[in-house]
Amino acid sequence: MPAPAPLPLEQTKVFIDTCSLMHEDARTVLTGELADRLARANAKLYVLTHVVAELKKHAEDQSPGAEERRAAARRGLTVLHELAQRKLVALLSGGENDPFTDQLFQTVFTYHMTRYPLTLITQDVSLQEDILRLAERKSVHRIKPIAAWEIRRGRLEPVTLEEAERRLRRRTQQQQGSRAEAAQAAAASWPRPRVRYQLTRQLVPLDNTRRAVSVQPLAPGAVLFTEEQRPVTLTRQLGEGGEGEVYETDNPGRVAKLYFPNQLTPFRYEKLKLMVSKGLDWSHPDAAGITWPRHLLFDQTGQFRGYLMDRARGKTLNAILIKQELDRNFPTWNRLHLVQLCCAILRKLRFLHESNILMGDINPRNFLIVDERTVSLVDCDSYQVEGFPCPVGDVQFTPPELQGQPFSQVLRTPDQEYFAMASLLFMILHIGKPPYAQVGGGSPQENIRTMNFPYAVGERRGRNVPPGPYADIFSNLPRKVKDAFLETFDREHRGKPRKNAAEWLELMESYEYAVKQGWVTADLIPKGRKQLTKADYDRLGIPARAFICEKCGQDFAVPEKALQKRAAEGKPLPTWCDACRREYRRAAQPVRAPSGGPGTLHPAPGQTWRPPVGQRQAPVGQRQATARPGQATSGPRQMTAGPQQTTSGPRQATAGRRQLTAGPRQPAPGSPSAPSSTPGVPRPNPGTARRSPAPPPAQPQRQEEGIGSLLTNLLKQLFGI
Amino acid sequence: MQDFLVSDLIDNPTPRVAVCLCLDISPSMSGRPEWGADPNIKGVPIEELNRGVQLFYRILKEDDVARYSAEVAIVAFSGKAWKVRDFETVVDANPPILQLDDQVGGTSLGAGVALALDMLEQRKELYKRHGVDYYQPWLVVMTDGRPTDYSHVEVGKRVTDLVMSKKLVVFPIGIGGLADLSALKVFSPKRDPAQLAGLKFQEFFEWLGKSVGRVSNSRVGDETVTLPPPNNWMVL
Repeated sequence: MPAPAPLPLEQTKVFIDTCSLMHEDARTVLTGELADRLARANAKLYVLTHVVAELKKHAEDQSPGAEERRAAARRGLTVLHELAQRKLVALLSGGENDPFTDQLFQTVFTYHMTRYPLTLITQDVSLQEDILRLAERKSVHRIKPIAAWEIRRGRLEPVTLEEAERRLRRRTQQQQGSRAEAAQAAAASWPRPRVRYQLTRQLVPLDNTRRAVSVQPLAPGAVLFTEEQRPVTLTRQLGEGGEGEVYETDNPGRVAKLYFPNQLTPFRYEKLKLMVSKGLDWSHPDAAGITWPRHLLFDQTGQFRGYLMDRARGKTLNAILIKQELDRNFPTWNRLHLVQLCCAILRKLRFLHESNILMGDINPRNFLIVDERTVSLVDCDSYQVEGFPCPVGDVQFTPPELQGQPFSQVLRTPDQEYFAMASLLFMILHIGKPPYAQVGGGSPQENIRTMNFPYAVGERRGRNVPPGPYADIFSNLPRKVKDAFLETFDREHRGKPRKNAAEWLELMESYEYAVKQGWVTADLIPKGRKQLTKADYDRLGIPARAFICEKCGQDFAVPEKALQKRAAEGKPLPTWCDACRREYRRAAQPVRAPSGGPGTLHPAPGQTWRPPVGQRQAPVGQRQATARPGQATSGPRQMTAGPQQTTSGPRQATAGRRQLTAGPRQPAPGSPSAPSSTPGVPRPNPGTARRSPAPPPAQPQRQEEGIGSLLTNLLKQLFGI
Repeated sequence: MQDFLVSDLIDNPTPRVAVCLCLDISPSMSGRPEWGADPNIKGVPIEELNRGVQLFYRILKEDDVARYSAEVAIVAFSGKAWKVRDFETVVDANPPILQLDDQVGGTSLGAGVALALDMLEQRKELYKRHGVDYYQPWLVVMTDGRPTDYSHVEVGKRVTDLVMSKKLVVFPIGIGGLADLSALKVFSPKRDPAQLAGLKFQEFFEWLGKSVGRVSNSRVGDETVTLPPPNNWMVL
């Protein structure tokens, strides 16, 4: 319904925000039009001391690039000074315990809105919307009119709720749009590889019938020859795998992979011949670190022995897929590094895919990392090129449609590769946890075939979410990343084309950006589910209200819809943020350190174990039965009861139930109604906490002590107090 | 009651392979014929067994993935069965040195295997509760003589069910010429029980370690990966 025309400003209590005071037209508008109107009605402009403090802070900021803001802040202070001289300013204590001015206004307005009509002058669209929404609250009756005004085109203009919402939506879309544009531009400018393999569905069969039976043995010092007859001398053996050995050569940048005799098959030879002759687009920036076969190697009898490739360094991805290992190998890493690592890997995969090459056997062993930006790909001889399949695989990364199929008889599709890719990304981001691991799950194959993705996304609830930090990690991913995982993994989206490397790269680069901006957590292990701030909700176009956690002082937001639901259920407003609530609940659940469980007889490491001396029975030497048939369970072991244990589900996985831990905020008693006194900010009253385990209200001491003294100086300076 | 969470199963997300070693420590494992050992075997079985077990753990620890994936438990039995070690991931584990039983006597194959099965089942429940992936668990049963009770018959049915429904992999191994292979057969519906050649415990446990490692590494299609053939420890 159309909003009623706003009351004349001067008939309301007018507050003002820092940004309006710093507007370029502030002087004209405020000391002109506004001052006149206030003077005529014998009213004042209410200024929170926090706003004054902010102005002072900006006015003294000497850092480079802050010149404009400094000037604007000085202007603002001058305006205030002028107004104060005309006795048009009432200073209100801004509450040292409230860290953000926009929170402040909301709280102040909430406090006063049943008593006086209120106006806020601000340029901040989301704050306008926030303040105007207060009047929409159904749970509070007899709210007096609330208005928002802004300085526009040299005048003071009122803003309606619809306008504010519209502008917010547009701003969000623009932001998203410009980033999407930038991403598209980047994608379009990526150079396509100049060497591309042919796409074919014609499988080259494995033909392992003709293997070499015996070959000349090789040792350091042996000389081999490339297909161009160039000699290569083996120097030192570096390692040995299932298929052969790897040697250093007289060329320090190159190593030789030499197969065991039974691996020297026509299939391998033909495949490597193709890979060597066609090569890769070596000039491409993303080709670095791919240990593609460079040359074939033959021994002196002309027998094919293996190939020459670039040397790669680093640790396999297994070094980061267990918390213990990650802490040991990369102790300084946080989530940002994990995301950047995903980007580095995706760039290589994009390059391969655009060259019409599929890795096939995507698994942690085939990636060597030096740091989050330096990745090498090894075992390239197993890749799928043209008609030559990748004959090996890893069960954990095999898509459901390929489970159980013989890899050597199948040419994989890019879509199947994308499943493996997404699984790898998931595991990197979740420190090794496979995407389908869940309570009540089974083997990796079974879990993948069932395709039950356990995590919650948006409205979709989680099911059988595994205990541990994994749910929190997943929850703190950007929404788009969560959606992408859900669409790749859950059976409900089966059949949809999976996201390719370029698309995942875009998602991961956005994720990287979001971490750097502080929109999502950089913690390796987030402390709780993702907590959106009011600004996040604004960006998403979802109406929400801001709160401050009484325990940790963080600001958090709750969508209006959820609040309405709470009100309908008779629940008061939340006072603790999600993370604190969960931590409180988690502390109630015991976690045991040793993996043995109850009843483990755990002798010290390496110690001798002997059967516990109990009954003296048959003398040694007689093998006559002293055990009675069926007596199988006597003895000192403490066996817990049979296998049918708890049927209650996992304790942590209750999705989204917000529980109360303390009563609602109550205004401090005895607030006077005269406008010139200082009602200030209501403080939470601990006495109203309904539940006994209510936390002591932590006064979030976010604002530095410095402001206090700044304030004093400022007040002295400006108002002669 | 079992409401606790095991931190290792939360922090280490590697899909697990549970291996239960069910080992005969009856007096005949001393190698003494007067205590029932096969006179043709030269050596002290229990000592070789211990060496083999040490090697088993070592092989698993050397593998990047298997060390976090393999969980080994040890059950020892003679006339009774004892839980020597409950399942623990090998990375931090230290195998005990078993001493043989010289008090109780007897050989209750059934008691040993029943205890092993109970432990395996509990471990599986823990995996499920913690949302940890797991491969089919392994049960290795080694004995050098005849069972002195019939408990294994009943337990054998339990094992057969599990094996046929692909919930368990069993390796029943007879040690020495006096081992009762037909008794072991009740645990092995799919293949004949193997007989250890002499006291080649180390060869056996090396093979076992590498085989478990293969499962941990979840490789498929790698038929050409060379493993020591089982016939270097097995009587053919």
